[in-house]
Amino acid sequence: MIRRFFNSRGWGKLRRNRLAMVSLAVIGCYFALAIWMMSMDVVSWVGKKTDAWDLAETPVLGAFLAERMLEQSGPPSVAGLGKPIGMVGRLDYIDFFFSRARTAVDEASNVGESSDRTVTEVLDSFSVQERRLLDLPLPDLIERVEEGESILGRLDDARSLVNAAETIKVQLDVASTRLAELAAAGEEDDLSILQEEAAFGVEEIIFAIDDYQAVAGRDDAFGFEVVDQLQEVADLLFDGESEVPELAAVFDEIRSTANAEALTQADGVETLLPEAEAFVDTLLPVPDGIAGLSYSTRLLFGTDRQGRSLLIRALYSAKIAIQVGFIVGLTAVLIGSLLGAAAAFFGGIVDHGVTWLYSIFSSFPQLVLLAVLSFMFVSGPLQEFRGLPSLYMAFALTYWIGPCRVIRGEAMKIKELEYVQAATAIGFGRFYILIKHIIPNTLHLMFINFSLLFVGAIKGEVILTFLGLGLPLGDGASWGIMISQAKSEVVQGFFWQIGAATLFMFILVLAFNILSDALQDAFDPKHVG
Amino acid sequence: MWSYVIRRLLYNIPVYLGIILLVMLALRVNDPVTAFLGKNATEESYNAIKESFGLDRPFIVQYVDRVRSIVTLDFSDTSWEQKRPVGEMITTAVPATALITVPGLVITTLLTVVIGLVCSFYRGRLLDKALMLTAVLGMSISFLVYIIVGQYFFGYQLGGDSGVFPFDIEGYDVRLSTLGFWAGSPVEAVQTWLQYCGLPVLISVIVAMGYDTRFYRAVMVEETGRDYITTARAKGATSKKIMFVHMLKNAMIPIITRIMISLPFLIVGSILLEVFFSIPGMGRTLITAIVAKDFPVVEYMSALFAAVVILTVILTDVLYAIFDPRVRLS
Repeated sequence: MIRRFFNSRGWGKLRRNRLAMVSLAVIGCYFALAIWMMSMDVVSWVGKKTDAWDLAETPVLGAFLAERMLEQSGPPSVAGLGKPIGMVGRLDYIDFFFSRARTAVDEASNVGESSDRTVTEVLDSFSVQERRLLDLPLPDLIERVEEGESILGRLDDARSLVNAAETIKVQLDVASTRLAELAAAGEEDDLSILQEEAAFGVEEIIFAIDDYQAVAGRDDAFGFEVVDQLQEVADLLFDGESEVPELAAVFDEIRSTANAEALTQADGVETLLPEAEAFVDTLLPVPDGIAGLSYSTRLLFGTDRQGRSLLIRALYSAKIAIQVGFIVGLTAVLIGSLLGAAAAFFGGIVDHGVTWLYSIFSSFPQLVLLAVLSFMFVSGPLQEFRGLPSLYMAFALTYWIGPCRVIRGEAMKIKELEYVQAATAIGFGRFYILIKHIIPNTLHLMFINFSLLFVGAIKGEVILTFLGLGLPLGDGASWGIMISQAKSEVVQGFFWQIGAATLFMFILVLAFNILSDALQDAFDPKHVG
Repeated sequence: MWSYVIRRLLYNIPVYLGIILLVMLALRVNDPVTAFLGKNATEESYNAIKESFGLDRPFIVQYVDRVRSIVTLDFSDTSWEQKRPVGEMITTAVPATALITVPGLVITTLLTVVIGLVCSFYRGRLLDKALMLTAVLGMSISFLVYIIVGQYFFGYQLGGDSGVFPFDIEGYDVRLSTLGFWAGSPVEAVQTWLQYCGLPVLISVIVAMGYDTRFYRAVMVEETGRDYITTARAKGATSKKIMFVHMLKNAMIPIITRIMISLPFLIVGSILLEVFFSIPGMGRTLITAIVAKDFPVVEYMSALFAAVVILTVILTDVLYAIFDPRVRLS
């Protein structure tokens, strides 16, 4: 049967289609990757059962195990190539690595008393994937961490000063509106309340200025006179005076000082940030050579919100997709073709039964049927199948209709052909004819349908998962889970998660789409649409 | 013809009974009341709810009851979750869905038929290849990605810093579902429609383009090989005339079939679009009902969908016979 397929004209035509061969190669790569991952899963499982080896510790072989996929590979939400995005991202990056280093050094300095591990072991256990602490004796490391703390402290100060300057500006706005309200107060307004509010508004400015000066360590950053003037006005207002000196000029002066201070401090942040980054990079250096390559490859697409490598998650999802597509395609095509061929060949009650069954299933819009079927697994007695098994079942029960209809039609035609009649006349059994003559001649349709359903299952998984009926959003990874999680990130302008999932999915689905077309052209050229 | 229609209707009766049975069975795999109340309900409240939903009766009685109310078009059962009659929920949801799906279908069909014609005219040349490649590329991206990225660019970015957003990606104006609004202030109605439904329609058109263009191209390519085209060429008709008069007319049958097949979806709507844009249409109502375990809604709505599907299939066959005298109904 297989040899006949490879000798057929259709196969020859397919082989001459260069694009189809490229797609076939791409699909082959995905399959190879999936098979490799699955076999590594088995090897690691055996290792764990027998306590002989722990594959997760092995660098290359264990790269795609489920537990590696859940590991933190870096700070959260960094962009591709491990670059942090924006001010917050850069601060997160510094904070992530520095806090690791600090904890490591802290624990290592307590080693003698509490732990039975050596200093090196403790330091090693705090590595971030390939990035290890600088290879220095402990006292030197402690010194380094102190140095880092001072840099980070200065950075923090500069940032809080920028914020404090902003606060002063906000308080200025508040106070000027309140003063304006007081000035415009009419007969019906309660004057004392307005006065009190204005007084508090002015006092808030003084507090904000005090805050700023305290952090900056300069008592006269805004000038003593200015503060005194403000205090005077506030006191007057508290005393119930409604005629107070004009403050507009003072406010303008404060505002310009605040602007200037904010600019200087922001400059400070700008210069300190690279310094802190460089410091972190020397403390926990990115290794050279193979290890460094492996580190930067892992961060090729950045990380998600939990700091997990998006590349590894996208590749792991490829395995899930291949699993889903393959199992669903195979079962659906098998169920569909068997029922279809049997219906066409035996006719009568069998045909009526099968037609009835597929009419039922095809009277639902596909997504509705999928949703209803997957719902069976969300809770209740079938809940233990939630996840991949439920997905397989829901898809297989939905997708068998297509192949069934096509194969039934084709088998009806074949049944009337002379060679089948000849075989019947010779006296071959009905099952023999079905298996030997009818099914092999519908094989090409099975291939085409398999290829179509494969894509259908992969795309369906994404949609069902998003609707909360597919794979549970948790620790696992699939393109559906990734895209669903990316929904809220896109709003913030973070495209790496959706990009990684879409890229890998796009290549696979595109290859399958091209292959389906080529299969159709080669084996079923009369088909339209 | 009538005998054919009646025969088909009769034939579909057992199918329809099977559909209702399938849905009811699928929903009863999990105990509906436990699913609805949660696990910590007391026995009394459990029994009370069970009785009030009529679930204490044997399954066969429930089934017959449900079939009876569907056949008599009595949609007055109330939703468990929303305490509203299912019929009312459906009638309010249909217009919201149709406001997206009908314009979407019209625009998609017009665009893709023209592109299909152009592609078949330039068959094998660069333009055709480029368009077909675009179609395949477009088909290979998930629907979800189109929606998420589309919402980002058209919903958040397009307005820019001006703060004026041409499309709303959340919320819905219920006045759109009323006829009075459209009759009373048509300009405002169109504006509101664009604001809430413009982007979903755009996305649905983009997503459907790939599939439909390929289909119509295949249809047109099939037609270009026919003898009547050669004849028309031989008698000197311009290629424009051949394309738009001779070919389009003959390609009408597959086009109509394609449109007819997608008719049920005008009512079902796009579940994803409705969920993402929070449009209170049929798809969103159904999926919320499924997630909220609101079984009467799910049962009635899927029965309704199935009825629409069956009727359109029969209608398609009849239309076929009307448009193409060669087709005999048997």
